[in-house]
Amino acid sequence: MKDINRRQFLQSLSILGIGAVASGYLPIHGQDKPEDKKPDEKKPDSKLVLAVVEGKKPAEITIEALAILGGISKFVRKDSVVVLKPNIAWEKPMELAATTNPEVVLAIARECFKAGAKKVKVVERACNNPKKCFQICGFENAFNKSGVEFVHLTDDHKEYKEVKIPDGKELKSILIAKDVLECDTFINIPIAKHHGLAKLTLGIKNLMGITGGKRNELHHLLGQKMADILSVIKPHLTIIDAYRVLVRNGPTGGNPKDVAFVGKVIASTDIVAADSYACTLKPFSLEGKNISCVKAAYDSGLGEMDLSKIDIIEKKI
Amino acid sequence: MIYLRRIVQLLFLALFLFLMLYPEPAKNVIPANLFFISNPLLVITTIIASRTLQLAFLASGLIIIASIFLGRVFCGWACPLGTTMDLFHRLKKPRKPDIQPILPPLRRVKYFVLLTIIIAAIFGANIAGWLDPITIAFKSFALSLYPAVDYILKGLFNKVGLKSFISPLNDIGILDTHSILFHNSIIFFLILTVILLLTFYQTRFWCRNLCPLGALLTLLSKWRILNLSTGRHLCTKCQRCQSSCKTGVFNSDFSLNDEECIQCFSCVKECSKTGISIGFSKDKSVRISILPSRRGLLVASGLAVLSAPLLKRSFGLRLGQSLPRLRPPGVSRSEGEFLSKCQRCGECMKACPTNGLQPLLAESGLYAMFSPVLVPRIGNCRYYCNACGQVCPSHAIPDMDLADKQEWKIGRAYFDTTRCIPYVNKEHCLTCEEFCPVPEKAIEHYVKDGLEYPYVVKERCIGCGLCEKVCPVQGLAAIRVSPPKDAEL
Repeated sequence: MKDINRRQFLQSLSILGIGAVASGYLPIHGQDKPEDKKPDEKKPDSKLVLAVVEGKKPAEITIEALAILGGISKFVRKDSVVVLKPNIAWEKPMELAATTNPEVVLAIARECFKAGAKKVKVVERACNNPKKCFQICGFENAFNKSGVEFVHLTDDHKEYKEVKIPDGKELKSILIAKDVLECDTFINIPIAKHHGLAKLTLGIKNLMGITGGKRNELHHLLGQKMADILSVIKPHLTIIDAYRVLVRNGPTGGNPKDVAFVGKVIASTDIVAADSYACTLKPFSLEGKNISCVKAAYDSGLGEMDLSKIDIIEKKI
Repeated sequence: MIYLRRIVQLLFLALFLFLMLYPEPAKNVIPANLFFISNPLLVITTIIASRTLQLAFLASGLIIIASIFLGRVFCGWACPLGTTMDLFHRLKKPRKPDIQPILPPLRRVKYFVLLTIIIAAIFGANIAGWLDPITIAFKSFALSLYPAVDYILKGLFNKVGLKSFISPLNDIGILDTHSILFHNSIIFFLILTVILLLTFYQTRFWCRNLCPLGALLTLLSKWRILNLSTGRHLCTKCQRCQSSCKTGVFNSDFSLNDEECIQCFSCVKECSKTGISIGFSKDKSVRISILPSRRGLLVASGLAVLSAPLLKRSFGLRLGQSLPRLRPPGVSRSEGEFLSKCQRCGECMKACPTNGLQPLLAESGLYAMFSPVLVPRIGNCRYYCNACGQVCPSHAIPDMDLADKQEWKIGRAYFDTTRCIPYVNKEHCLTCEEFCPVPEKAIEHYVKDGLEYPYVVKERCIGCGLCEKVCPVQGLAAIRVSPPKDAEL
């Protein structure tokens, strides 16, 4: 009786073990997909369009901005996988403008589903505890039952893939989240806010949240390094949340006095153009060339910084 | 009855583990520190050592009253360490019933342990937490076994690509993304291992011979009304009672040490004639008390009196002036006052979401052993968290409002400009400034020759240690938090 038990136990254990090891080699994360998923570099037919919509409701102005660009269905195909990259990096309530307004992100996610997206993922590698950020920043409440999947990236190297940067001036390779590399549409949704080192953190700086490894090593020559990263992973769409902006003590903020109400959303297919416009917002009163990330990206030919060459469509609701 | 006892035991163990694993202890309807605030030994020593009374300590009244009337039921029915011992003992191969040595001198040790703890408390030294069974169980489960299990499971599931199996647990905060570890926590595991292995020599070796809480409850139960009766007219001298008894109540001459009885009902079940019963009447069996002799008590008291000063003066450090440590937010600025309240239970360390609270070993003197200290390089004090104060059973860490806690100065950050990247390498960094969570940033920078040099604005720094944690310099950080000077508070 006893021997059989032991044997049975060992048998089932080994079967389990083999099964567990074998399943590790199955392409669960789809690593085996061919690697031709570089973002489409299609230029819009006419002049480069930048949509700026002002209003009282974050969701409303976001949807209107998307409509000006021709609607989300231009970017999101049926049964595709969409990755949204807001800033959910800090444990601060959204009123303090350290993180992207969840209503803006939710409005975009809903539009994606309407356009037939199979899956919408929100991807972020937070600076503070990712789950606390998710709760405190108001995403947990807003996204309840929305069907959106949240990917809280960690320090685990297996979540990233090393991407070579052929034209990199400061970086030769970078770890980028697999979720982003494998998606069909990548939408960047930063918040416009102050940052001690970068002066302002906008769309380009927001891409830091999809990179792996030791990110603080990017701080030296930040602008060029971010431009190098942008050269290999260009978002299809950049939507800057400038509903509330943080003017001082960024990027974390925390003092309501440092928050200014702007009530705008800026959207464009060109990340440099969107960033460049956001610099000129009233509370900042800067220009693209003042911000190292924007300047470096422009100099590397990754987008348009000169606002006179952009078709800016402003609307107020 | 024995089955009922086992069920109750398992329920209490489950409750203990549930309270331990509950992800946000402060939001639990049952207080996370229930087992500590209802523990008479910890409550009495804390009251004596810190000379303070607290409302929550009333919870210990339940066990005190139960012990006065029913004897050591807590030991037999509720103590998580006792249940662990019983479970572990089942691993032993069943052999022919053996009569275990009774060894009265060894059994008196627990009274001397209790005496030393009480006398140390009179001198203001709260050392119950080193030997109390609940704190031993909590520290070994929460600080040693849990991180190990966490490590194994996460490794197992992540490596073989079965992450989805543990993600539901992730969602409720168990096996969370970041790894937890505690300095030298293997010590707690070793203590537990020794206690468990000793059960092979004698069942419940710890409870019989060493447990100070058991000693206290025995003393309380002097006039209990629940008694063991042997029904001697039925006895066939089969000795099954002797071999089944967990705490050696039955002597070989069939006299009883029934003050040691933990009401486990094993003997009632084993007795071949069902002559043994536990009830409210007292029979005429010969009863032998194994309380220590008066002389023994006097000698022990004398030695115990020495123990408190010995501990407090250990390593030549004077209390309050000993090596200052980064203590959890809100604790007394006087190291001595803090240590007289701290029960060394490990609740705060388990509750700390960043894993920054770590047990001290002997770095601050033996007396501070197992008290919590913030190690920013491992984890900072989260700006939006006051969990440690909410779980601390003795309010050694006060339960502060979040707003008050956010202003509390744990320490102050100092730059080490011989290591700081802009100062030494002439490269851009400012990671510390970026992360500083204080609304009006406590780290600012000036620009010289196009390079940003950070500095601390001392009035704003709360010493949370996030800058030290994220500093990209390898090894010793280039910005480090030190305890604040009185003048800076």
